[in-house]
Amino acid sequence: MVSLFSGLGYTVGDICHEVRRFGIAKCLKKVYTMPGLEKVVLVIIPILELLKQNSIGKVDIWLEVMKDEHSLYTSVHMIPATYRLLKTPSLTKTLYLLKSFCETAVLLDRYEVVDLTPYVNFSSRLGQLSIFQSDLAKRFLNAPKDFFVVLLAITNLMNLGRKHYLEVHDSKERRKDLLKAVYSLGMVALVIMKSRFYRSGVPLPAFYHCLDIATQGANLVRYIIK
Amino acid sequence: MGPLVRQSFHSSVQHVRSGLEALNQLYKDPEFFQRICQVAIVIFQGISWYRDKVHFPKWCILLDAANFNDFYDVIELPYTLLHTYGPDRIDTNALLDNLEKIVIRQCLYGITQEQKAAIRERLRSAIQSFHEDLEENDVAFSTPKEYKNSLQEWLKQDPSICHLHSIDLTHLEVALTPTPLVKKLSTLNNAIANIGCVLYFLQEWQVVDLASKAASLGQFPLLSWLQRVSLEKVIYGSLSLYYLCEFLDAWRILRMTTPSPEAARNAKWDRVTAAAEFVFNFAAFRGADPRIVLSFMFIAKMLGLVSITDRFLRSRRTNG
Repeated sequence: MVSLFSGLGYTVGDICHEVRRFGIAKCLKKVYTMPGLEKVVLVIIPILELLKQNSIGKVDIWLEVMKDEHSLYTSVHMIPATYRLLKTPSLTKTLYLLKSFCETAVLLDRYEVVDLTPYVNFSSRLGQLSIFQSDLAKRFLNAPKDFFVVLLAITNLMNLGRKHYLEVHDSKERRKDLLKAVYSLGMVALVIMKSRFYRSGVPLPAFYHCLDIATQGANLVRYIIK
Repeated sequence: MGPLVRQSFHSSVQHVRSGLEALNQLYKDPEFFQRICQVAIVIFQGISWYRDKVHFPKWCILLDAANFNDFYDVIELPYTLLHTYGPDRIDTNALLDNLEKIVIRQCLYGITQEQKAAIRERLRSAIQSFHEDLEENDVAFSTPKEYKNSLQEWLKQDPSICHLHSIDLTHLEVALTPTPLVKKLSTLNNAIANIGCVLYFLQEWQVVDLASKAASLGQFPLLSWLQRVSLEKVIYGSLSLYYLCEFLDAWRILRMTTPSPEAARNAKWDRVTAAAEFVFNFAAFRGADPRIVLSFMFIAKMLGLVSITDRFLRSRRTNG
């Protein structure tokens, strides 16, 4: 991982050059797809959260709309996830499908399409069990999506590390790998921070939103130059 | 029994994979996604009216969020306006003449008439396949230089003329066909609707207060009309004009030009979908009964969905 980040200065400049070479109009056109728009929404949400927290402008309704929009985009994640897994099965893709399944289930419950109360009751009973004197089972059952997000990010980082040390790859691959590493590390940090702050009942700090902007921004740029 | 079951299982998996692949490609199109949600909303609303009971109210609110995709339509505007060197605008005959001249001057000086005809035919098919590839990937260029570079790369890879790898297209002239008036009008109306949608949503989300801005600008005698304008009407009005122009353009392609079978089928679909969209937008512009507007909306969006799916399946069949 240290080696992956060693050429950071060179690679960030390179990414900017790549975006400039690609052209703003082309970048925008590439963004105008469902996966692209989702990534844009994910960048806008923490920016609006930050503005709301600092009482800059009236962004409450806009923020709610963006969250709804993100939920809607999330509801169809199952399609690409299932397709990718059927095409070339792997651990990462299985985790991605499980994460998408959990997201869709949570969404359908939140918008009153299905009732997940039996699962919640069952999980709260099961969550009392102690595994190796830790509350791992409780945490997983309370937020299965986050569990898969972290597992997916760690698997991605491990794959990136292995790829970087074992295979020789060109600078374009290196750029994408760097952004993927930033995104994966960011996601792990975000999930951990979120669970800590929620447990202590403290509202999410500005730093969390800044980290979210950086993480989602890296994912958006990676999508554009891919 | 064993092999038969295995065979049917493999065949079913193949079908599921193929269906998922198609769905995976289609869902990436924001227009397709939005139409699916709009059709679903109309169906839910229809059932609610019929049964006099609201079904899945929260889910309908979520589906309604798909309409916010209109907010992002403006993203495509710079590409549409700046990238004019696309397969639909290039004058193919003039390009072929110029390319033939350059190829003969640079690489094949002193060849016979028969050889010239053969080279012309190969160049014609190379340009055609290049344009088909651009059309399929929805690519256009902002400058003739970009177009020429891409064409040069394509010619190098073409097995029938790859021996002309030393060809230099720097002096190739790339002429554009004049844009028909209806197309210009449709682009203009589309741009107005896209910008209008951004302002409309910002107003809806209470980010900007357009009413007070219009009132202050309306103090100037020349801009007093701003106070009487409804943004929603402007959007529906410009969308109506946009679809009317699209309809006329499709009609022009079918009647006044000799399109390829693929282009003709696309134009026929455009004619139907543009007519349906025009009726829906015009009804909304005139402030018709909401049930009538919703019925027109259902027809227009369903036709749009079928059209997008048909185009997608045809392009998939062409690519094998």
